[in-house]
Amino acid sequence: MSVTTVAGLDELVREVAEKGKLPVVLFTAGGIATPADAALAMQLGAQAVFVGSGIFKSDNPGPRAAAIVEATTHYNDASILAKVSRGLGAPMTGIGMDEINQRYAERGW
Amino acid sequence: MGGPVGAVATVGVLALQGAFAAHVDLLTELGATARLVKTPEQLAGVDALVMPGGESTTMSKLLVSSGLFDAIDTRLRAGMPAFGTCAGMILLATEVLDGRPDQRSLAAIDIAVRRNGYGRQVDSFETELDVAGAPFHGVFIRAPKLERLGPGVEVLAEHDGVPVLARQGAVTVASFHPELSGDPRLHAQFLDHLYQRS
Repeated sequence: MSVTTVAGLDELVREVAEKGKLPVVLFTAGGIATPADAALAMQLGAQAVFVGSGIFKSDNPGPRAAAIVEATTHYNDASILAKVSRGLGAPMTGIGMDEINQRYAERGW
Repeated sequence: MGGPVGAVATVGVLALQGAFAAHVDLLTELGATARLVKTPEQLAGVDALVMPGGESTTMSKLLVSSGLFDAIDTRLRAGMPAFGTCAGMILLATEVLDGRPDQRSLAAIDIAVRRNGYGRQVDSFETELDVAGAPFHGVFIRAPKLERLGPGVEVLAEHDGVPVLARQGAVTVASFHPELSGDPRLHAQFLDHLYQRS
């Protein structure tokens, strides 16, 4: 087995470990469908949240977009999160296992 | 703590959106107590406010929905010192050009500011400025441009003949991001003014 080394990586890992944060802005995305999802990403250390289908595939995209923005700003304020999460209609739903008709296990990459 | 100079200033950094983290680091480094401000309750506990860069129309909306717009407006009228950088300068201006029709600004300094006045994101640039006879590295990111200054506004630095750092009373504004150049002098100056007032 060969080992690939990247110049400076060692130093970078040390820097991240010391400071507890990345040297670049951390944007997060993927599957964010509710204000609570956005707040969770921020609580875990993100600096920004991108949301696409989570807004457009929901029942009520306008109010949901506004609520997700508020939740991203006020991610540590439970009372604001509770307030903005109300009355938004149904969120984007996930795809159930039985609806997935193409399995990577069978198809391969 | 408990030095001979007296109380340590508590400086709020508006943290609704944008580049607030680097301001907090710099103020803390300079010995001030920096507090993130996202609600009117948090604003009540600070002596001064830094309004950071970011996206001014987004911040305008969040200022209104959080109740902070009116709270900050009241504090500014009562003389609270403020330092607005980039989008923060837009939010403190009397007049915003190329803004959204529903965008609000606090009219705390008599200037007209054009959003994206130096061009789009790709036109962002860095340059050496002259601040009080000393060089200061200016980082201009999709920067707003000062287009009109009222008679009471003092110009502290220019770039190509256009003011980029200005002050009126307790309010200082910059087109650029002084928190990103690693040079604490402008923040130190802001704190000095604060200590002189108290």
